[in-house]
Amino acid sequence: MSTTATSGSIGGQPSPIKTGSTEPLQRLDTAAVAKRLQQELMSLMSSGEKGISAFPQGDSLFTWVGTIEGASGTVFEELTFRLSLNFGADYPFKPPTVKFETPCFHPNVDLQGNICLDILKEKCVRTVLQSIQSLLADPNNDSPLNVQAAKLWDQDQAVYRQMVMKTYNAAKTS
Amino acid sequence: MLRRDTLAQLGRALQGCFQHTLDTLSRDDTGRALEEARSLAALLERMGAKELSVEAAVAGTLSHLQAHLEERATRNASAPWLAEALEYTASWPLRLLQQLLPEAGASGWHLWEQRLRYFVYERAGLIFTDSLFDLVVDFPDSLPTLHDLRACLENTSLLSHVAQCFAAATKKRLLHPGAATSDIVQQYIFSIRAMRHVDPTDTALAPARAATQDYLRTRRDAIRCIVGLLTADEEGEDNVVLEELEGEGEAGGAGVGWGMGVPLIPCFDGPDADLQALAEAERWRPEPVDAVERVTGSDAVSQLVGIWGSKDLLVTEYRSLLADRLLAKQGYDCDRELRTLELLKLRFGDAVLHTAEIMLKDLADSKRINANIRSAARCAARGERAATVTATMLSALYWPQGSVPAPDEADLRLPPDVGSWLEEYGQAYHALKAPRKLQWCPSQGVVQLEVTVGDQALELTVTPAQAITLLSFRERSEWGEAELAEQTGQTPAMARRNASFWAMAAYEPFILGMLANFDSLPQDRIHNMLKMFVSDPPYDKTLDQLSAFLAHLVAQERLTCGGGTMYKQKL
Repeated sequence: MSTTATSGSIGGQPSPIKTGSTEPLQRLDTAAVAKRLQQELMSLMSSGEKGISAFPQGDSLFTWVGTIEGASGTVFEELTFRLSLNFGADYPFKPPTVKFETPCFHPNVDLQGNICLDILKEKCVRTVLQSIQSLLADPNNDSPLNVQAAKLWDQDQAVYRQMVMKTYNAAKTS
Repeated sequence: MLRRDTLAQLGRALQGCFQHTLDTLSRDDTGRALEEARSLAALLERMGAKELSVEAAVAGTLSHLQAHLEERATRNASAPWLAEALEYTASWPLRLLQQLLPEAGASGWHLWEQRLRYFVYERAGLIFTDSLFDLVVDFPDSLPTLHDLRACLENTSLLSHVAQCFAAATKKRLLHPGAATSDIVQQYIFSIRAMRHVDPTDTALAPARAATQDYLRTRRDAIRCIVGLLTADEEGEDNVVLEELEGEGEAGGAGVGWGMGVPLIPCFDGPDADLQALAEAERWRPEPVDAVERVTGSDAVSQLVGIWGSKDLLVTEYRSLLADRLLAKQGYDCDRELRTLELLKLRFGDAVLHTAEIMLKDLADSKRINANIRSAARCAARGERAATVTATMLSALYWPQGSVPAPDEADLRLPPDVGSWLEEYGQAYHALKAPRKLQWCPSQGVVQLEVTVGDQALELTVTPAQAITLLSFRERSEWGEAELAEQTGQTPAMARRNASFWAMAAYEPFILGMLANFDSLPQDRIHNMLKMFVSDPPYDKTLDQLSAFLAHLVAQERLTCGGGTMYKQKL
């Protein structure tokens, strides 16, 4: 990955280049996105917010690992969920792709961990994580990805908690 | 000659045939094999060698049982299987024997049954003995199997064999330089506990115990390790020593030679004293012939302490560990230490633990005096800064030598403003407790600081030396190593280490954030990730500096170090 954008001819020019290769433009974008992500990392780390956290994975700034703790007083209490966040070169104009890596029994999360898209309109990492955390406690049952979870949520919270624990622990032991 | 050979061959054939019958019980050719066995037995009988056919049939049964037991043991390592095996023995094998040799009569069959049962007990006992060390490791999960082994021992004469094997396994697997002392101690306690279930007469454990005790005596850190386990903070399942100290439950009884003894002759009182005595007498069993000299009524802790023959060593070690622990404490709460002390007092008597009691009382007094001084200071306008100080007052004479620096020893040089706070606090103490005066040990304790780096405010808990080092940078932004050391009263090496600590502190949130999202990371990976992702302030430290800083975070219990250079978030 190249994060240096030193090319004088392009730097600072907001107008799109219509002719020739688009590669320099992409590189510039990548650099800008990387810079933006770096700033978000700084603010996320210094905010020290409880219950949510994220950090770039391995050697790329574009793939992050996120961690969300279930809010206390909800069925997800005391559980920790891992997420993956993938940022495209068009970030922040397009939201990152967020997936649950820890299986999560939730109306708006499918069995592969994909999350119902409309909550991902949020732009920055911190607000994405915050809205997923609040989605855990407050699902949108009108357009569920996991129909069983949506039904059970309305029927019986105690049984729902059992299902959450079962899903969660199955992943831990496997 | 020829006849004898033929007979032997026929016998072997019958044995094989019969074993095959049993082996293939569930399959179709059982009937045919049994027929064959019958005709062989008839042939032998016609040749006048009936005893031979009985012997051959029994031998066939035994080798079938042997295979059966081995198969069961490998299939069912965790669940108990002895009762099932006995039941099985009494069903098919015995019934087939009866079919084959119907004329033996009831008494004959009874003898065979006894013989088969003995065989099962013996073989099962040998199988359990082979894995006894692992069973002890798995204790208490392995309890059902240990009970099986106990049944085997009660019905056979394997006891001394078990004792020898267990001692050999312990020597081979535990008492070697590769095992950590704490593991040896814990396994020793597990052995004592587990073997109580195998052999209440203590014979099976005796050789292994003697070997372990001899070995622990050669380990210098054994006492420290035992005391450490006794006083450890964690109440987790790991702390078997403390559990033993607390639990009178299983073994009951008290120490050997000191503390409260158990009366050797039980006393019976009340109207049904006679009945009780009679019941007790009926419970009595003679010791097995191969029993060794018993360590009656002694539990694991006494056995551990008994290794050194005297409690003095242990008490000394306990005091020094207690001192370390109390001095490292933030706050005055020492309920746990008090409880441990009470338990130790029950065991070792009050007298030897008197000084330890004073140490704990120092903390309780400090709590009271400190609250007093601070509330007084808050009222008095001038003494407000004394209220930021929290002190622990020690009766220096009662603390182990070396745990508290002597007053004339070179110590940290405090900045004047901090020094004046301490002085105010000291005056308040003098006013309260005259004629006593405080003598400060500035290098002990902790400092809570709020540091602003860029626009992030960090709450940090650091050592006094680290705090003083940072405070020196208020007056000058650059110090030479020797100058800084002189200014703060540290050695140059300490000054350098503490200065580089502050250079690292800005990266703490990143390190913690990283480990919040990864289960654990090796040190060099942390180093690389800091290099790659942290730009403000840019990360320019060496791996050694990072390593020192990580060690500091571990000491602060922010991180845990999972062996080698792997680090984890402290949960």
